[in-house]
Amino acid sequence: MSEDDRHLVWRHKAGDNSAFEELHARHGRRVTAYLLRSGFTRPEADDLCQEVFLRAFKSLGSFDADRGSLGTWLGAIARNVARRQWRRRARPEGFDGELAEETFAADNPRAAPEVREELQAVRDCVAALPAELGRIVRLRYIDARTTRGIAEVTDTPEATVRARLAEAKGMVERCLRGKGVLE
Amino acid sequence: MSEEPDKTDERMEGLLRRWGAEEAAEHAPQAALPPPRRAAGPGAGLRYAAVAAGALLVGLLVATLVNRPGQPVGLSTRPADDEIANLNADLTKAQRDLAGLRAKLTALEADLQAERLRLQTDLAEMRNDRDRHKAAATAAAAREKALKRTLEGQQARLAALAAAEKQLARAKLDLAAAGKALTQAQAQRHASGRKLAAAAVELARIGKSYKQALTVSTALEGEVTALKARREATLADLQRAYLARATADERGIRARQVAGQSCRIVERAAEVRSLATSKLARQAVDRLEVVLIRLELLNVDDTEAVMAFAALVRSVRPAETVDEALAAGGEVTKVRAWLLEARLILTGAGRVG
Repeated sequence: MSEDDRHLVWRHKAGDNSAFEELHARHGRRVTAYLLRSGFTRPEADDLCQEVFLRAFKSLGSFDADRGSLGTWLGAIARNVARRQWRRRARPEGFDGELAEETFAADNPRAAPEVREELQAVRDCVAALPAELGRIVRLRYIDARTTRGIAEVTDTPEATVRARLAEAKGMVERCLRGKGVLE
Repeated sequence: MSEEPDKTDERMEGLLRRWGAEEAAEHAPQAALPPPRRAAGPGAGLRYAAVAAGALLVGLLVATLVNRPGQPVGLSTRPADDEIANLNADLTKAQRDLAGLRAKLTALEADLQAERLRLQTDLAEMRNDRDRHKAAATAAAAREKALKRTLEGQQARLAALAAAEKQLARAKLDLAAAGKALTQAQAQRHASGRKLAAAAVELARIGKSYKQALTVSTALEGEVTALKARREATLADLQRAYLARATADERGIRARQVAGQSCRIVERAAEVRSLATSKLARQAVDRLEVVLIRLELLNVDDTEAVMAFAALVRSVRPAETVDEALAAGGEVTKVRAWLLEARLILTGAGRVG
């Protein structure tokens, strides 16, 4: 858990109401990203994100910073909120739940410069891809869609999606080798 | 060779996944804070009060400008100086009102602050009360637990005492029974002692009698032995005399053959059998007659026949057969004489060969 989060939680517990707003500013996008990557629509994701932070506000007083990061804790709340929603209606198809879960797995890249450099290299390599291949890579890794999900969005056969994804990954790999990220 | 590409693929996939997650988080829209949060802070009341007061001030100012008493609506119908003077007066009044309202607002804020402090104090007291009650409840629960333990211990002791009392009662009953049994055993012991003394006297008497009987028996045994010896000697003499009827060259089987023929012992057997009264005597006559007939017909020169005859005599055991028949008693003289003669002829015939 970052010192910033720890300090904000401490401030909130001490009665500083602006601290929670800062926590929301720091983690709100990640929670929304998780919900979108889980297949919820934008309005649904907004509502559910509000519910996540409402729950977090109610129970932040009992949060123990020594037992885990705030991001992980918020991720657990977001998962529970999403699961409750899925009990009311079927889980959306076409989204890769494993990728969605990884939204909370990564630490804050601001704390690791070498990771930040690697991610910037990936960003550059994906940006250098042909438009159609770049779109497929973004649909896969940013939107967390499955091959079938990508096929539905792009109106392309699944086999074609797989072939293009493999081609795109090959190009990204060569690009990363060129940048010295991969050996 | 194949592991290297796999590792590269894994690393590539990991980088893309990490990049995707970070991109998604970075570019996701920021959702609004939940509504209860915005209204929940302690400063919110004051902010609402300030906004309300401002709106009130603006309303008053507008009302003052637009609805002055005695003045027609519209600015273009009055001379400019008068209008300016009136406006100045209205402005002064509005400024006074504003100052008054600000003072009221300050007073309201002070009251609000005081109320907040009072509420905080009440809350702290309530928390203290709650803690005290909680501590008291904990202490009471602990006391109750201790009392319960004590009560359970006393109940256990009472149960143990009741069990001990029952054991004591049983032991008393056992003791009474044992006392009775002891009395009976003592009585039996006295009776047994008396019987033992009588038995000892009887034993001494029997021992004495036994000794006397033993003395008599020893004397009688000596007499019997002497009688037996004398009887055997008589029988031997008699046999010698009986068998002496044969000529000087006729000895052994031949002498016995001659003795039997001379006294016609086989011919007399039928009469003797009819005279015998006991079964034992009749059996003896039958067995001895067979042996005597074989003796009469025996060729004494045929060694083999002599040996077979001797075996027959040994199997019949004439001496014992005759003695048993005579010992039974009750036979007439003719029978006793025949049996004795048969014994004399056959005794010793089994030793031939």
